[in-house]
Amino acid sequence: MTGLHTPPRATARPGARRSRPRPFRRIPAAARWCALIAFLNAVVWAFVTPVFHVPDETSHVAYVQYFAETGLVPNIQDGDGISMEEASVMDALRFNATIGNPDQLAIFSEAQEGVLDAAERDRLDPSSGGGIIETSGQPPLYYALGAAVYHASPWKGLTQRIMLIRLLSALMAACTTLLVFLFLRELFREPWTWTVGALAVAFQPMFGFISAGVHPDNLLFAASAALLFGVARAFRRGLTPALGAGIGAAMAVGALSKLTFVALLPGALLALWLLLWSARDRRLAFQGAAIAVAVLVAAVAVYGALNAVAWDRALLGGGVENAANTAVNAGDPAPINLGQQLGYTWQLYLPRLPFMLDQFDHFPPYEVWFRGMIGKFGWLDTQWPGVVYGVALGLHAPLVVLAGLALWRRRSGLAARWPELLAYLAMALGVMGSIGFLGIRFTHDTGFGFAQARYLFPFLAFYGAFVVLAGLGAGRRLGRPLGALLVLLAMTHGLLAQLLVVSRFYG
Amino acid sequence: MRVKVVLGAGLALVAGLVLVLLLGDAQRRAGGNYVPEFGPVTELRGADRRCERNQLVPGDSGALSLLVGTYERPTPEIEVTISDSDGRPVSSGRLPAGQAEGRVVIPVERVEDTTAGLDVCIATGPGGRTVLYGRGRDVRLVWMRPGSESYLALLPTVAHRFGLGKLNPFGAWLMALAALVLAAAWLAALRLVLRQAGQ
Repeated sequence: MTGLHTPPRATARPGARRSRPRPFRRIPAAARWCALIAFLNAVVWAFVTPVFHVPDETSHVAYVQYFAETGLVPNIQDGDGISMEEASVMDALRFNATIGNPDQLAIFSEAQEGVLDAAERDRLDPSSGGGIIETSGQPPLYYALGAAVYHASPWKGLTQRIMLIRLLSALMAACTTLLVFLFLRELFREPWTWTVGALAVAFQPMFGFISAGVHPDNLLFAASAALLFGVARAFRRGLTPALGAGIGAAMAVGALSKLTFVALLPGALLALWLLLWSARDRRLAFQGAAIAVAVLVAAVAVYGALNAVAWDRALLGGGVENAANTAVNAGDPAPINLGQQLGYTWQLYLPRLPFMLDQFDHFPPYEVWFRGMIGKFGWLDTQWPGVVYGVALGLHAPLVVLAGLALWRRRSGLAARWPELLAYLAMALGVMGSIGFLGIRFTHDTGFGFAQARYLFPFLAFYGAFVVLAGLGAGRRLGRPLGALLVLLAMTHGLLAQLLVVSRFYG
Repeated sequence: MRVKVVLGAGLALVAGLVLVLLLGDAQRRAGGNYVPEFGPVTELRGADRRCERNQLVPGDSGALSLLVGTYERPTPEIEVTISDSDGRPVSSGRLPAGQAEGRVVIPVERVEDTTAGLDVCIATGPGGRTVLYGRGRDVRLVWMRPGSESYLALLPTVAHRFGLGKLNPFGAWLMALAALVLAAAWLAALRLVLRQAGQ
């Protein structure tokens, strides 16, 4: 894996006229195909999933609409969280009666469609939202892009606009897949592995399902994949100003798309420092690192200025603390101590140790992360029959062994790549820690579970790498057939997931 | 060659699996009144009656699925009548006494078209107490299609529902179009894997 492969630089023939291929042309054709396939799959998900039935889509639509209608971020104390138009459309779609009731169909008759048409024609005040809800503290980049689509839409009905914004999300899924391909190209020597890993991500059903929604996670996933690709490339080819600008852009987009990305930044900054420390050309690397940080700082500064001047809220929009406090009841009289915090975070990912307080009535590594990856659709109300998760576990177990085998065979290369691995580890720990930090507060105050598998999707590139390693673990003879089989399994998994959602809402 | 064989065999398996699923018995829901089953709503004592007013009864309804509690005793006879706001009968049906409590399905004469503003009355015959469930003052009503159908036979109905509630210039053809887009993605992916991993 890491470190064994340095992609060859393009070499020009002596005497040949030097011409730089256009950036799009420099992307391998296979990567572009993978991106197109991911886009098409996400488009299908967008039409399969009824409007508002992606987790939190109601509040993300509210943010987009308020931003589009007023140019402001939602920041009204005690204001309505969603507009009257959105509320009437939700009523017409019978959303509140469908969510959480897996045996209840989405609207099924022309009469109900007529009610929806009337709600969309009447357009009750579309700018009447803006109240502070759980998404209000989030930065506005995804919502601003969504607002542009909202305005550009030739249709003025809210459900129609939502479908177009979903297509924007599908484009972001295509970008994520493309960047995963490029990340894998940095990591692995064998070209077939890049396609196999990227397609496994493209057809991952939870990724496809979230890509179908009006959801800033989609920009977060793309920015995270871009960051991982930039870091992997820089560790192999050296940090240059151009690469620094790319890493900086990824950090800026990520930081302005969702607060979760803040948890990746310490790891990203550590990566820059390690790149600087290990650079052959320190001056060039320093320029690259400086540009990366400058791009991030400039973006955050502009965002801070907008918050302070145009939107009348805290410089960073309230940041993580605001998100946590808005999602739950702040000011709880029984504060969470450090031991509880650490125990909760540990148990989210690992078996509980004997001295730890039992924080869950289930085993999160299986219930939250594994089952969540296999599929919990809708607002977690559409799940497979239990036996499917068991079969999936049975299929994954040998893959884990094979991936471990591949890593073992490449252990010497891995050891040489410790700075890069350390950077990835720091990013992963940052995100995992942030889920624990927010999760215990949410559960403490509401009694509900917090974590969802998608919270780890900033590391979809690692999921692709896992699939590739499983293929490589099968050895030289069987690696390719197994890789092909894993792609077919991913496609089948995705197809069955789409049928599951179709049967739940329409069947 | 090996990759080709793997993909070919895998595709055949997938096609078989999808065919088995499509030929399996569908749930045959016709629709419902969107009332969740949060708890008991009313208790009918002996020969008693409860009406839900202003209901939308979906087209192709041939049975009413109802959750009933009888304190572990067999259910009494349950009769369902559907009438319009002027009291004219639209459909009716009955379930003989002696069923186990829980979810029961009461067959009714088929309601052809979706109709709004109907009264649905549930009457119990002599016997013990019968609890109906829902939320607040509303009983949950879930309508089922008559007879038995496979998912394949249900496809036109599913396609019709699929086209509702979203941007859709294609009507009931939207689902077929989505299937074509997915097929294109599959073809492209298989071709790509064959070219990249099959060399």
